[in-house]
Amino acid sequence: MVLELQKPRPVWQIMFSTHHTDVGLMYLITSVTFLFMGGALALIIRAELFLPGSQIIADSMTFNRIFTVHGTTLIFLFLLPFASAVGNYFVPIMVRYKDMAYPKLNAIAFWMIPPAAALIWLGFADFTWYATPPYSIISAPGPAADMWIFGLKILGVSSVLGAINFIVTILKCKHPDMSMGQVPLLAWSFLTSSLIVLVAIPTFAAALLMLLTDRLGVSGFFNPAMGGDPIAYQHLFWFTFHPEVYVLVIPAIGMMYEIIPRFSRKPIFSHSSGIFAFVLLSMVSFSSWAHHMYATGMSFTEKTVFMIGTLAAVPASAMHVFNFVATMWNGRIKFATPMMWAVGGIALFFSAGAGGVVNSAMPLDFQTHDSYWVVGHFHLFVMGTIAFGSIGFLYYMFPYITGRMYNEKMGQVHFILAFIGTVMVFFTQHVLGLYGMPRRVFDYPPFPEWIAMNQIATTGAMIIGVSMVIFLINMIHSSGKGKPSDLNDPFNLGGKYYWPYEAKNPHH
Amino acid sequence: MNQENQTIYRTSSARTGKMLAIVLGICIVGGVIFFSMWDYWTSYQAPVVAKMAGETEHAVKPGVVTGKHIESNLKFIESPDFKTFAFNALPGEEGNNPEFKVKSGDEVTFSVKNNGKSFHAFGIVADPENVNNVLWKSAIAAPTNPIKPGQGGSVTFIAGAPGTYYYVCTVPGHALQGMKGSFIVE
Repeated sequence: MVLELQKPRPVWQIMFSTHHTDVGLMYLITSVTFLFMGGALALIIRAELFLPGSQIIADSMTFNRIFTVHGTTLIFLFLLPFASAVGNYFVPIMVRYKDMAYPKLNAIAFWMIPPAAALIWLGFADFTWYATPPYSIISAPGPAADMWIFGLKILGVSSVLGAINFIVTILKCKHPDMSMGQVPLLAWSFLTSSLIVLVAIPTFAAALLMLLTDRLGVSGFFNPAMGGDPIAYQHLFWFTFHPEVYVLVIPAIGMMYEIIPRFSRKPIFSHSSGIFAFVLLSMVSFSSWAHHMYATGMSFTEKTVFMIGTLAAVPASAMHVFNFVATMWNGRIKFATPMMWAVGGIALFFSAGAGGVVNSAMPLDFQTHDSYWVVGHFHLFVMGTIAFGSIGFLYYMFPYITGRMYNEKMGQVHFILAFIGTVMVFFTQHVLGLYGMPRRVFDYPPFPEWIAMNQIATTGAMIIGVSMVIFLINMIHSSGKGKPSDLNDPFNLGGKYYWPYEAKNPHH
Repeated sequence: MNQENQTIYRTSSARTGKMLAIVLGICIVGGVIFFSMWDYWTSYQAPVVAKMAGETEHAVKPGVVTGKHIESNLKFIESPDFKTFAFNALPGEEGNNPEFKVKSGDEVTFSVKNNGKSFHAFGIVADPENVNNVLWKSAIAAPTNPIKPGQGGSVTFIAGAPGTYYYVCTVPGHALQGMKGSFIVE
């Protein structure tokens, strides 16, 4: 299963190819590049917050611009393209088809990302990744804000095209001998998350157009001075972006479903409960968007509905966690780097989920709304769960892509430092939120508790930064000079892998 | 994929180097554009800001100032039950909310006096239901800092583009209760 090199070709042939592994490689390189760029911005933010007052950033607008692009980059230019990279590599192989269903559409979906990224990065808008009106309409300076709107529009189209491709590939192009129940869970995760994308994204696409016409002054959908309603934007935004959280987390769980049985040397405990939980998660993802908006003056009935809708995600998530634990139970586990990332990701998934359950209770939500609790909570999800699953899977794919083995020691050091750093940053931020520190601030009053906790968080962030440098060196060095991997068993797990998609199609 | 009868191609240092060179090249070119134009991208306000301030539709056209000067006095008054507000006289009486007709470019001075018991403020607007967008810097006081009972003030401004406008009390609700009159620019 060499994914990159069927035969040596010039680099430009890989860049402009429509073959699924080549497009996957382009997605992968792009997304990892943006991981480092967005991560660098995070370090600047944390360094600024190490002490109260202005240290390295001159003014609050620059700070706003930095954290806006930090969020936009890591969500839309790292996590989503990374999931697409994994899907491109693995989905056609798993459903035993020669390529994606629409190879050219696949390449188009990828090539929409660079112009969108250029718009987002050159403009460096300042209205946070929510672009909440009325600020985004009447105060956010252009052309940065308009560039961000166009960039996100392009990325939305790219996501929808990618989603169509995955759905058609899985449903229509899978091998006729394979029933849907036999489709591996990683492919199932792409099917369900792609369905969410198809339903959720158009709402935000419409909201973006309304935002643009509001900025031009020809409409007043969200402009209170023209009779519009800013809360309507929040509904449209969160109708897309609460499900979007699941679009990110479902493929990450799918990746863990790939890693954990391999390294436990056991089949998945329950394949069907995994499928069931994916489908359930994709449905309940649409029942909780307004829990981001408890503080906007909704009626008690509405809040109750969304509170229950939020809690409905718990059983499906718990099914995944139980499935992972039961798979590892009594397995001969090999704690190689991918397995460490997957297990760490499950632990942090559980922590983030526990915080989310507490937070979905409205009384506590009023305390934590717009405080650092929220920052800690969602970062624990996107970093602790989704990025951990993704990075683990990158290590897992590495020998298959390059034909070379990464440095195992450096991978483990990377994991340990990143895990410690993540806990230091995001657990601390939960407590910081309970101490009342608001999010999106550039300066804060010198309360000793706030300073202490901000310094713990910043130290943690720097530890993650160091681990990421180790990661970068490992990837670059090992892809050129790493020792050749045995492609039948790169991780020395011995025996036969459990390859569900090769059950009727063994090494041919 | 049996390794015995298939050649395995592995990534070489040269290919990794090429890939890094491409990525770094894009980042460097992008970085130069990024830092050289850092301030440009946040240099202008959305068009809606100017529209909301009325600067585009109702603006004074340069070079049309007529030199003519018009002065007028207005009094804020209220009915005893505070249900009806008006200028100069209550509705139905002589002199209620007088209509003004001026030429575009005329210099207009309004002197107002608060003869009522509540707070008021003055301004000329295009839409009497939206009293926030006072045109041509014609405001006397503001809802946040209004004219108190017994006090007054005056303002001089140049009438802008032709159209039908309204002089109103800019305190929210007062214009709807009757404190508005036509101000026609020809």
